[in-house]
Amino acid sequence: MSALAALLLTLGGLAPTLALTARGRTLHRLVGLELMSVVAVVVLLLLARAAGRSAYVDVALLLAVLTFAGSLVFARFLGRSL
Amino acid sequence: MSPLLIHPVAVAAAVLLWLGVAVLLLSCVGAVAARDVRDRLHHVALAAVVGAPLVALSLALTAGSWRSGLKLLLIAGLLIATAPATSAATARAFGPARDADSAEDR
Repeated sequence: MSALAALLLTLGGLAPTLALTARGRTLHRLVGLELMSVVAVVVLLLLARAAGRSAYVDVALLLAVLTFAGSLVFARFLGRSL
Repeated sequence: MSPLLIHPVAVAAAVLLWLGVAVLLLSCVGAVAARDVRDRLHHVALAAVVGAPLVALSLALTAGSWRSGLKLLLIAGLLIATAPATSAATARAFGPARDADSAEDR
């Protein structure tokens, strides 16, 4: 029950990160994307508990790994081209 | 031995869960409120190093099996280990700290 409440609250936290990612300068958007993926990992973990589906934890693990690689690639690309 | 109405582990899990959610929400709001990109990066690191691992630790405490708990701890450790590298790479892409004029365009 508390997992469901925490899930709803954390979903609310996605809105500011979406606003951060959707507008502004490029690197500010990248920061918003990084924050969004951290929040998305937590959302998936809480969703796994609230819905009783442990497979979502694997999705969260994969997202955490891919976020790291993706952020490094984005930072490298943006640092070089701009 | 007197029976406890609420198990101590459940109390600890609840405290950790709400602490983690609070840190996550505060860092989300703080990242939007901050104006400089480096100030925003601090909030990202806070969410990844404190907020998300607290939630994962809370879920690991109440996990059904030790395997699922270990997987949650692995995710927490992964976030803690990768957040500094991500923050540093993003800050580096923004350019040197003193070069504020050229950095404003990005």
